[in-house]
Amino acid sequence: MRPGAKIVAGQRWSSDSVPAPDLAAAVAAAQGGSEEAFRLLYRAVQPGLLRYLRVLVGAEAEDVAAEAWLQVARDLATFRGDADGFRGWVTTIARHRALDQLRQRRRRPAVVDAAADALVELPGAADTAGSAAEAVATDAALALIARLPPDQAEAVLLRVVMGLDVAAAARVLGKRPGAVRTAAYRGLRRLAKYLEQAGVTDSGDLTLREVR
Amino acid sequence: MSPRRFRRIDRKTAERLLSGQPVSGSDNLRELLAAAAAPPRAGELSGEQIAVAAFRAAHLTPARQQRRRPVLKSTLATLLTAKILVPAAAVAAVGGIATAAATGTLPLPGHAPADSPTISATHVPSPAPPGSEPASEAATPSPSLVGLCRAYTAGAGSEHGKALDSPAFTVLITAAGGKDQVPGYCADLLSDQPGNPSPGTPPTGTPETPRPAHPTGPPATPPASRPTQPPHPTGAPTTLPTH
Repeated sequence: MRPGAKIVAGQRWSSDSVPAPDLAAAVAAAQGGSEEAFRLLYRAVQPGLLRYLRVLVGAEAEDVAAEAWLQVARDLATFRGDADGFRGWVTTIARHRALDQLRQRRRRPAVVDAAADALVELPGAADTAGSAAEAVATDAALALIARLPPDQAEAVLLRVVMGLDVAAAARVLGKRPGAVRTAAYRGLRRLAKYLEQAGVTDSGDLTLREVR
Repeated sequence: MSPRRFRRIDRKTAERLLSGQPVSGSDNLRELLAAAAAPPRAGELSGEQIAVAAFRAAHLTPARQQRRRPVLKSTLATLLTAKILVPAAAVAAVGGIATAAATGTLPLPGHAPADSPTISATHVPSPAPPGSEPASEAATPSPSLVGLCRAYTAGAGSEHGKALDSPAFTVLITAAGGKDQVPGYCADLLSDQPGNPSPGTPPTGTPETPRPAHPTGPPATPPASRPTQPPHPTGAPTTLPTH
């Protein structure tokens, strides 16, 4: 692994791969009807969104994300805000869809809440052999985060995967910033404990088998 | 409780970890978070065509009308507009209507507002007889159907079956009359697109004002008693297109 480089390149990929000013410009351009700008927004936000949703609703994440983007496409003209605001806005829409999904699921009998299992079983089919290890690491990390209590998992994901700051995450969750900060903090501590329990002594050891 | 190694995670460290700033120690946790936020993978963008199709469809329909008015109101408005425009269309497109009548594809004015009426008129599964109420709901889905068809045909061949499972395509499947009907339905729909408007130039001009003369031919064309050519270069009704 390449610890230093990976953190910088990985943790903030959504901001790094598409510099914030460009994303802000893309929001404006997409509102003006630019399809290319909309694609850019999609590519910047969707991967993190999908990971967040996978923890929330498991295998239905892609459907929920698709519905969310339909709504985004429809309501984009009404959006007011910058790039970070856009990220939060899309996340809020997707979260509402996901919660609807969970409510429906609860009404259905005999459906096991297997979000974490579905997550782990998701194949990395689209990934090339070269990135397979990283894909596995991503799935494993998400599976571990999915084991957190929901409020902690959401706080961690919104901060780390969606790249939202405390205030933006709090708006998405409808909570006070202090509550979100605490939830994320507790989530990290618990994740550290999971890692310890899983016997992960070296960073490269985090595999699906050990997480399960 | 906490192992010695993780005792260092205080709130300050946690905040640095959460915001992606470099921290000393907590290597495993840092790796975990980095893995969770790793760069996007190809499979994670597989819904792009559907999202873009939705975007395109949203911009092909009268956005202002769609946003500000409740559905009922906007439907009423469409109906009213259609009624007002019936005489206008009749006057402006006498030639066109003559042509259409001759070829058996009489366009309904109610289909005009949002998209090319030719598509609606020739592809509504059971064509409404001239005396019946113009199907106002048929006017709305047309643009999105075109967009969805474009998204569908743009997808890789192997993805078709799976792509149709997405809720985004529910409307399309319903309109086509079944999942297996979608390929043929889209082929017909797209082949009859006049000029096949490129994504960069959506016909957003004046959404609430239909172009009465457009459906069947340029208004300058004198009424032809025996039309020998289809109104659109690519739109011969009997042609079975391949996409």
